[in-house]
Amino acid sequence: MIISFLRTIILYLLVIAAIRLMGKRQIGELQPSELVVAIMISDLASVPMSDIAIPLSNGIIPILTLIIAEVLLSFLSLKSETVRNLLTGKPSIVIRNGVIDQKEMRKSRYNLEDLMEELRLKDYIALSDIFMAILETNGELTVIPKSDKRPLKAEDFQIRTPQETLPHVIISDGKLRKEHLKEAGKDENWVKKQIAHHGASDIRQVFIMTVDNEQNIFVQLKNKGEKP
Amino acid sequence: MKAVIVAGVLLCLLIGLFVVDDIAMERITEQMAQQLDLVREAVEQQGDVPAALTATDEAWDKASEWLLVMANHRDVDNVSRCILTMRTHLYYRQDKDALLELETAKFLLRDIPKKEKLTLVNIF
Repeated sequence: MIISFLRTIILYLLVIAAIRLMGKRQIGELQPSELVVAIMISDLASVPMSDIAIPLSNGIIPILTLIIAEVLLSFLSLKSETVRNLLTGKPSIVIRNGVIDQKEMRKSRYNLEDLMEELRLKDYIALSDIFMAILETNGELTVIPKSDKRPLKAEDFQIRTPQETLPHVIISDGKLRKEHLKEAGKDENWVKKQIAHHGASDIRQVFIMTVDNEQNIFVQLKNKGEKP
Repeated sequence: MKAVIVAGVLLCLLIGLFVVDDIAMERITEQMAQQLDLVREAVEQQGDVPAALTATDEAWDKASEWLLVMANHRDVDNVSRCILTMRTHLYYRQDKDALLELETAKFLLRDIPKKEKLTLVNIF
């Protein structure tokens, strides 16, 4: 039984490494080849986990092979448009200048129901509101509405807005993030003063603290009863 | 770029491993088969069978440790079973049956590296 346990740990760590090497994309955004590799890796890992008669190398080597193939192919597709088109295909413009391109729809085997469903999911009810719709290589539909149907932006009213930046996470689960503190141009004394305003005497009592470039501070303390 | 280099290094390591695995498996199984031949000679020529069997057991203990890492455990277990049956037959002085099991063990041993060879039959 301990053998199964250890094999599972080893293969789990290997699968994590494989997924990390594949890059930062959610399942729904994977290219077809990446989705295939993800499914195959999970399947390959499960076989030696459950059958200890199979050598562990029978799981490790195929997984490593898939990682190698995936990394090398993705590198090639980065350098070569031909390889990229071969592996991932090209996006298809299914609505162009407000008109549905029936030929592209047929080529992509994308029916009207699929199109209408995707448009509704993106809060577009009327086809007449759409200027362009592009079926991406991962199956997502990108919609560009007509200019008079798109959501209003500040620049439409000639309003200038300050640029938003990512807030710096200064404290995370009771731990001070010194590198972010440095990026925010603050020091520990400042942190202690700020958290004191929120009733905390110790950094360890704080669940999260953030500050942005506009000096907007967000502090949330840990729940009462939780150990600091 | 780091991932590509890691992938390249892994690929070279894997290829090296395949070559070493192939050579090691051939050598181990052939050595074990030769050890079994010594047992056969001892039986046929009425030599020191117990000593040959002891040497075979020691050789198989070492060989099976390596083979279990590289080959399917069931294949290795089948060879172990044949060797054990051969021992039992020799204990009860059933030489013909023992030699039959010995030849079966040799066949199964030589089959292990064949299953890992780079051939079209194995690929398909």
